[in-house]
Amino acid sequence: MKKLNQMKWNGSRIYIGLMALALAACKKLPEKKDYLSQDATFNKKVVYEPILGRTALELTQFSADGSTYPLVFSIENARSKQGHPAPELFQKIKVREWQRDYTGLETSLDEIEAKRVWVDAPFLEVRRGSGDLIFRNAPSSLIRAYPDSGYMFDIKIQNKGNERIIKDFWLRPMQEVPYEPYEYDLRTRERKTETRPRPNNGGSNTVPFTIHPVNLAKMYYTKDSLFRDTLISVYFTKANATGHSLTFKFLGENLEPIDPAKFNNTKWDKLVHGFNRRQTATGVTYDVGYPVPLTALKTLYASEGKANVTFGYSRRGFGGERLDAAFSLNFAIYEPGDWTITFAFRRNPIFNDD
Amino acid sequence: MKLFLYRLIPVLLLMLLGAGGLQAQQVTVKGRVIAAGERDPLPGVSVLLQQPGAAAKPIAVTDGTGAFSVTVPGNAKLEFRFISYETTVVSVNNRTTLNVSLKASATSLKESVIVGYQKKTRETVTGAVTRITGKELQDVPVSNLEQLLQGRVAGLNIQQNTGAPGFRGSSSIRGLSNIMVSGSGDNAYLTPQSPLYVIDGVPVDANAGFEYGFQSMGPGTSPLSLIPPEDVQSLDVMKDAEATSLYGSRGANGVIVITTRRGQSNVPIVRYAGNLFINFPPSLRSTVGGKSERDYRIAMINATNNLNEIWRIGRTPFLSDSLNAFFNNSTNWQDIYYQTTYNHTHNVSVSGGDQRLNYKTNLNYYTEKGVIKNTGFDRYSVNQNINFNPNPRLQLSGFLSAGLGKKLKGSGNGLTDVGAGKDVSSSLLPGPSYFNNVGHFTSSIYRVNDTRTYDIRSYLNIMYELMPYLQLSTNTSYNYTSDQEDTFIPALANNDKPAVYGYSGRKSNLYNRSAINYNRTWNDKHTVYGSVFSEATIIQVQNKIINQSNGPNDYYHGPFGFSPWFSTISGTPSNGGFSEVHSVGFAANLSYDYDKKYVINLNYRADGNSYAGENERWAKSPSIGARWNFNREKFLENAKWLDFGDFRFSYGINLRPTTNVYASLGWYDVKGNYNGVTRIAPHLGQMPNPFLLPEKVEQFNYGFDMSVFNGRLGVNFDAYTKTVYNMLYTRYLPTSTGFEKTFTNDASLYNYGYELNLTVRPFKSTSKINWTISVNGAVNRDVLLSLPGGAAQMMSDDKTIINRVGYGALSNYLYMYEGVYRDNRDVPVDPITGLRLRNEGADYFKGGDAKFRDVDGNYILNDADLQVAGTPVARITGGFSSYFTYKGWSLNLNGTILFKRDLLNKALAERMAKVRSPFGDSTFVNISDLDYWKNNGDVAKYPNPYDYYSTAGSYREYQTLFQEDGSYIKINAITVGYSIDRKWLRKYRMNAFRMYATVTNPVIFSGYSGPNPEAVTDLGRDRLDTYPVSRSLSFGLNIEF
Repeated sequence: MKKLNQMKWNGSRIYIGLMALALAACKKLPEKKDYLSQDATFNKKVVYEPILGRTALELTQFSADGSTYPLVFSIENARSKQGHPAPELFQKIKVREWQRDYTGLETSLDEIEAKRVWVDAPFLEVRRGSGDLIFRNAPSSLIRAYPDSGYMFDIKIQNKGNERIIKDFWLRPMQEVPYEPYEYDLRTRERKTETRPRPNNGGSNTVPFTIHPVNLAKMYYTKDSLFRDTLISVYFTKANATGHSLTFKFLGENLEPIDPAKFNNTKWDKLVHGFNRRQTATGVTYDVGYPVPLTALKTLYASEGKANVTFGYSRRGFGGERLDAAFSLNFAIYEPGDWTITFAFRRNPIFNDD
Repeated sequence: MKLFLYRLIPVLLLMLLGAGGLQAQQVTVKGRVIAAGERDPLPGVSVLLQQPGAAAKPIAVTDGTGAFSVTVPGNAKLEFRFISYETTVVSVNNRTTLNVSLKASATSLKESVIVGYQKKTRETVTGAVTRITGKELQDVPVSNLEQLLQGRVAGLNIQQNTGAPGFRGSSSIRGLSNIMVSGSGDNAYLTPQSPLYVIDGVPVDANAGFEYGFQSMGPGTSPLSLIPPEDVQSLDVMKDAEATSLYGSRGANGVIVITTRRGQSNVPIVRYAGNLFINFPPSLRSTVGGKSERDYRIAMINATNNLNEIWRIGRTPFLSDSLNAFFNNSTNWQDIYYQTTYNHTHNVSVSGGDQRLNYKTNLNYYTEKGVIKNTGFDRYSVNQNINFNPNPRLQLSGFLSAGLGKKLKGSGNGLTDVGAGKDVSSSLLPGPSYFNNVGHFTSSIYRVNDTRTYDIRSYLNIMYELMPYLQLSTNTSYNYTSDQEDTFIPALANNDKPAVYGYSGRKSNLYNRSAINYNRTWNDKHTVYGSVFSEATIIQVQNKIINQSNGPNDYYHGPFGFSPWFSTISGTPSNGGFSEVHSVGFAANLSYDYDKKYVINLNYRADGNSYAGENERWAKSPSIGARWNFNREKFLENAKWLDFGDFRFSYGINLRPTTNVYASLGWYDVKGNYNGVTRIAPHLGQMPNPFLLPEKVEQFNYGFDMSVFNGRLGVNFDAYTKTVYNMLYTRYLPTSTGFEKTFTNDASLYNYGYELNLTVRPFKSTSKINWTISVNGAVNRDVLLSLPGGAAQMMSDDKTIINRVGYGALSNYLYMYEGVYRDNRDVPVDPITGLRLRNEGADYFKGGDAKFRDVDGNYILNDADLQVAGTPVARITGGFSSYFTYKGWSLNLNGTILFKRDLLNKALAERMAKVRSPFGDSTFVNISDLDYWKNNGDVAKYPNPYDYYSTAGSYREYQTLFQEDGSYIKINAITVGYSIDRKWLRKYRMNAFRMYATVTNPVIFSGYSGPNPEAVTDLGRDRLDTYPVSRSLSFGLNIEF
């Protein structure tokens, strides 16, 4: 029996030896994980100043430094600058999102509206895969805006097997700007000023800022005096907060309406991406979708995030010369409503042939 | 003890009798030795007289008809030995006639293999070694011996990635040994991991010109191309560390030992082997020519609706000037480059002699014209060996071989052929003519190329038995290779400037190995073999190139002399142009076996190398191996069904010193003057690393072999792990160091895998039908353990290959292709901005564009959307072969298997790029076979190819659309042979006459859409200009007198 035990022991010794031999080759393999660079960072941490009242995508220019995508970004520890909780940042608000792409070729307002839907979403969101920040259309009644010191938040980055938190992003939203160009300063909300040359080359006057058209061409108010842009002021007025129309009006030097038909060179059907044009002796009205322009896409009506309108008229000038007069305005309107854009001419333009 | 005495007494008695001169009665035995199956006489069989207590003494060799005659004692035992046949022992028993039939060694166990420069019977080998006999390699005419090994050995992965005559494919043993990728794009290449070749005991570097990557500068003829396959007796492939450890640091990637034939017959034997073979060009790409081509191009341009593009038509004569006879062509250019070629090879060998003196001379001529014009390879080779044993104690053998390889490279560098593959002209351009110059064509067809590689190899081996059991041996060899290239490029092919290119290189290798061996068996049970040897090598390389242009005319091919007018580059290329390496090695080996039942092997080797880091000169390789032949155990003694069975284990470390001298010792430049003295300063690009360690390769190997039922079923199985530590890797340095990069030892790689070889013989060995089927396969997985500086991932130079820790070592890094946008509405829209997906800084995607995965979800396609896609390293490799004989007929077949490899079909990518450049003058490929997007709403595999003006980049090269599975099963060759009955032959005084026909590369089964999943680079990239692997038909003749 003892012998048998001995044999068993011998046998198991051999067995253990063989096992050890076999296991010797085994190697603990490194964990399969992605790479998340310690140098991965956001090029901008302070200060994000989105303007309230519009939906914006802010490219954070996250530099991954070779980190393995897909990455997952999330906002952590959002708080006010003083360190208090800030639930309003994530309070769901009703905003519109695009479902299909806006092309600028839509033929009715309904067709445009069919491409967007109302959703409930928070003001602040980080784009999950790329780290870009989304600021949705929230009012300053909800979100604290400048001059308040704003909010702080951290962004957590994760990929397989790694996690990093990048701390202390500063968010200081700006109050709403209903349209652009805007007469008031973004921060102080005081009227901006501009300088206008005095007549007869006598220096300049500093006056409250008004909006002027651009690219003035061949517009005469006397036989030989050309309009300077400061001789035309543009006023944006909103009548009805739920409307969706845009009206262009023109006023002469005595604030009398100018018949839009006088701007006979204007391509009224391609002026704005609006529909159902209604032209009267005092103005031209379109049904439009807000904001104007709807997206940053370059279309017939807009470029670089601004709607482009050009009005023109043609007349025979002095000596029989054909004068194609024109002026333009690049603008954006962010709030819906029945808006009117009024061009006030401080001198009466000459529409008649010389 | 008793047993021992019983056995000892007769021995003593015998010795006494011998000493007393009282011999047993001598008899003269005559007989014939024949092969058991085929019943052919076997010439050259060694007949040995078994002597108790000593090695069997060779006394005779069978002649050309297999006959022998010996005078031995009447009670003697005769041993008959012949390679690849089982050694048979026959007792004479006073018979005077003995007819012996030798069985082909089904079990392959008794045959001897060469491991660590020693001949061992397979029973005592503890490592993983596979032997291939020359017989298996005969019937296929090839320019490079290595091609014949494809698919034969589990774990040896040979890929014929070029069909260029005289060039070598890639080979690696047991997965990756190195992961450094150099170069970018198509030219990216993996550091070669070729095994070490040892030819008749002399290590030979099989790489040639590999240091230049694809920019091969010289002839690039591997020494392996200069060895006639007909002259090969056997090849031993060594895979694990134990088998390779005695070959030192150069054996870390595995070792292949080639033994050439020797004389064996008293009567001289003359063998002739000849082949006539026809190479067929591959099926060419279908192209669009003439009016159709012009219509396609113009329609594509008009479809852009871009005024500027349309205006360009008028500025492009070959498109607009269609009525001009000059451009009114439809030339099939491809057809002009390719040809069917008739080639032949002849090999004559004369051998003879006996154990005292034998000789062999082999003459070989091989000529192959490539299927692409102006390419080809000719081999002339003579080699000779003489073995002389003036007395039983002294053995001398000498060898001399001279080879000349002549190559025609055309316009490519041989591995690739730019002219025929990449730059085929538009069919509209004027047809082939010297003066209507079409640059692409002139440069490949009228280029005059004279490329020679001379290779002289010699050795002298002296072995002396100082006293019984103790032998001294020394082997000295000198190899000299000279590479010459002269190329003349005519004026029209080189912007009206005749150019010459000259390359002159030489490489010499002086080698000595001296050993003391001790070999003794006690009591027939305990065998000890001990050996100590030293090895010294001096390798010198010097290459020069000259590259001149502005020659006077096309008739004067130089020399041009020196003038800045002529010269562009000349001198020694900085990369691999000059080197001198001295290395010494000391090794010891001790092996012991008990009755061939338990075997243990201990090896140790230390290598000093002048290339090594200054502080790390020596590389030490210890290894251990053990084997248990369990069929010899008592409990299996009576198991008749078992031929043999064993378990093997080995463990070893191989150290591989760096092959990059700049990495360890630095690089110095002459940098102007300082105080009137020429100043030499470090080259700031690369910092030397004197602490550079040799790469360390550690391997475990577990093996199991078994053969049952008289060799009817055989299994070999190996499991291994192979870890490469201290792997050389480029590390980029911060600019504050003043250097750009250095080499460090920070990376490590782990390979593990299984190899299986299965042999089945469905018929009994006594049957008239002899059929051997064997299948082998290897599964290998590699895992990257670490990268420099603890990095988790690294990219190749062009960021298309990624190395990640914890994953497979090499992965493609690509855009993920997910189909085609059916129309604009199919393109995802950013809900925030209302804009469609776009390329960074470019236009929006639209219907017909490629749908790439937007990994980060920002509706912008950029570098962040690149993903790890596939691996260019094959997971499963293997092969199969069948050998069938019936009477005089034989039918052989062998093939290669490869599974789980991802290829990048860059050939298709480039082909699409050519289609998408309507103003380009390249050939217009027919793409009507592709399922591509044509109209809105189409669900297609390929994006709209004609939308060339788009910024979508639908046909970008590095995307998964072009990544395909490269698995294939290939039949390497099928041979049908017939040997004429000897009765007829005798009339003509011939010993053997065999005719055969072979089809090479007859068929490849693969789902890959490109032309050939094998003819791709190491990194799995199918270049458009790959030299195609041709199919060939050969008729051969073997005659023996």
